[in-house]
Amino acid sequence: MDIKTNEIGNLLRSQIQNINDNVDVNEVGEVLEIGDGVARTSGLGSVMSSELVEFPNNVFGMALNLEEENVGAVLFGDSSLVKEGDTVKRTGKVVEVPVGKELLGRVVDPLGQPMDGKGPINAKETLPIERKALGVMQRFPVKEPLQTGLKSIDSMIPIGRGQRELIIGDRQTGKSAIAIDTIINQKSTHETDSPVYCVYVAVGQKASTVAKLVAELESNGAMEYTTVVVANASDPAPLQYIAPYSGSAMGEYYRDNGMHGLIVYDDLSKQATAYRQMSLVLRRPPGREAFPGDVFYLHSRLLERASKLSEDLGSGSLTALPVIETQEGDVSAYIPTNVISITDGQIYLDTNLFNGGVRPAVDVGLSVSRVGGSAQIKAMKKIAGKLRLDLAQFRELEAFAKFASDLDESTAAQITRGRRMVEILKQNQYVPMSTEKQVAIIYAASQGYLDDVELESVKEFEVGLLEHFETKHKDCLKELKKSGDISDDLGSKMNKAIEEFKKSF
Amino acid sequence: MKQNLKKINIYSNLLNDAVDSFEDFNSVSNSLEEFSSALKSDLDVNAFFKSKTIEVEQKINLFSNAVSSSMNEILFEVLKVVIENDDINLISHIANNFVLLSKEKLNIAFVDVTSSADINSSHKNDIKNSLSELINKQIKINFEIDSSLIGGLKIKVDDKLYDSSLQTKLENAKSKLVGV
Repeated sequence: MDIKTNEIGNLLRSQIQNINDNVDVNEVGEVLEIGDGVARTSGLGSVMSSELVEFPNNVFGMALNLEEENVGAVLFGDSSLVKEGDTVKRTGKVVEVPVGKELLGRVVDPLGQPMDGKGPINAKETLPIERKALGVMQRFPVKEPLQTGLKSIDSMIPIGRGQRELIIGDRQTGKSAIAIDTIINQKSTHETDSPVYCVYVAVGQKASTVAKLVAELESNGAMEYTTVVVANASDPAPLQYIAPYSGSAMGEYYRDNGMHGLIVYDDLSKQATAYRQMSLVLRRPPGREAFPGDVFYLHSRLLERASKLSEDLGSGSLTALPVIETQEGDVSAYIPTNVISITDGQIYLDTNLFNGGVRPAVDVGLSVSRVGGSAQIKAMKKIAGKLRLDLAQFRELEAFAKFASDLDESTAAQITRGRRMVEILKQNQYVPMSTEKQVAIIYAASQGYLDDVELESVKEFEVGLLEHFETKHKDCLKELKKSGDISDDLGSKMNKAIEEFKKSF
Repeated sequence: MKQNLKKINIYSNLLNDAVDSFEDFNSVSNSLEEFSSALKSDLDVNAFFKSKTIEVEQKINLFSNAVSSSMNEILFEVLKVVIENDDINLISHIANNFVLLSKEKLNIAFVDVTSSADINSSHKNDIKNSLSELINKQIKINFEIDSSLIGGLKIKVDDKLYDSSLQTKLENAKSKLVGV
């Protein structure tokens, strides 16, 4: 690159001239005591709740407990850099983060500072991390689907844009995998006129896990439309506490500007734990499981921010996928029950299913989507009803099948159908499937075309059939995509195509 | 705790009512601070006043002999009552509360001036007079030296910090230029 020395000189001169030479005026206080990431300060008489305060050595904090004689502030940085007697400055603004498309493809901390070494983020706008959720009149019922690309979810637990769907399960059951697959699947929306921008909030996770995840998103081309907000396990509890709110503010930018956003909070149990630590250190009274009294509000005010906006406000949406980790499958613990009651449904992942090779390990019986049904495309709705019924009957009969060797014909048929259904709902990680392909394979199974296929060959059949559709009957897939419905005509065309493939299989 | 707050309020209000001028305030607050820091730093003195076995008269006698000549009369009487009631552990709170009350009443501001090098006394006087005029308050001023400022002054008036130090200006310039 050609460097012109005069230009650099002039540029520097103009920048230096622009620097404000006025006296710095700040309202200050003094650190009375510091420990466990919390500072008690005197002074700061007119500080606001949640205001950002500045300590020496570039450590920032947030004023939380405004008491008569002192102010309790939580630190976002290394508390060993702050000592008793240090000066603390008011900044006059509540905690804000940069928002906008400039953040896409970036990994940031909960204060919006870049962590990926790709240089500063030149966002034009900022938003406060704590914002009031929208009222009733500004909202609109969920009506557009948000495809996860996972057959079991898109068919039976459909998610709509603006919905809050909880992903819940024990450790190592593939909770994050579902969220990541959903983000990867949004790539296809970027070829349409309503793209979905994603925000992934990693709370209390290992830095190595997050690094792996970012690499995975990058290799799948998903980072182009995604922002990752990271508060690692080693970060101070206050950062882990604010991370979901920061991510939410970033997601709300898309919603408020008539676009569509998807936000994943992975996971909120760790955020609640961080909040518990912070509250106990701030000497707020502990309640059930030692969580403070406002732990419900902690999550409800966060999840209420996900919404579908009315047409007057631009029809934008923000869909939230909070993740909660249970202990030994106990969904009746404090935090899981709270979040279940706030969200519009949950995807329950089961350890036994996971270990039994059913992946994603979605327990269809316990999972539910309260509003997504209205957002499902007609074709999927038609076949999903049958699929749900087949699976429910199969689950009831499955127990008998283990004991009885000779079953009557209809029971045996139901078990055969159920087993094949379970088999086709299995899906590998990082390979989300388009809706029309999902419809095609589930349609084939629900019409009984797989009943006489060996269980071990179901996967092979699925791959072959989809390839067959792709190569020889692309018009079927196109029509499915275009109309979103299976008309009688299309149905018979599909039947023909499946029969044709079966002959060669 | 509530009981203690009540007591602190009674003692400090009494002192506040008795203080009418800036000079009085200065002498009371200085003596209170001295006494409080003596209690903190000298464990023997502290143990003596807090002891349950030593008679109150004995405590008051010793206290009178030690401080009567140098101490403001009203404060002397108040402290005697404090010792009588065994409230000696509230001294620092009483001092803080008294300062808060009297500051308001007598229109006093606490000012800390930090400079990079020593300031001569005529300059100190200039700073004091112009500041007092500027904020329209009587001021209790304290000068400090911190060479890391490089140049300029840092003036803290109660909770407000006016920073014209070279160190801060350079840091601001750095953050603007580097964009951090």
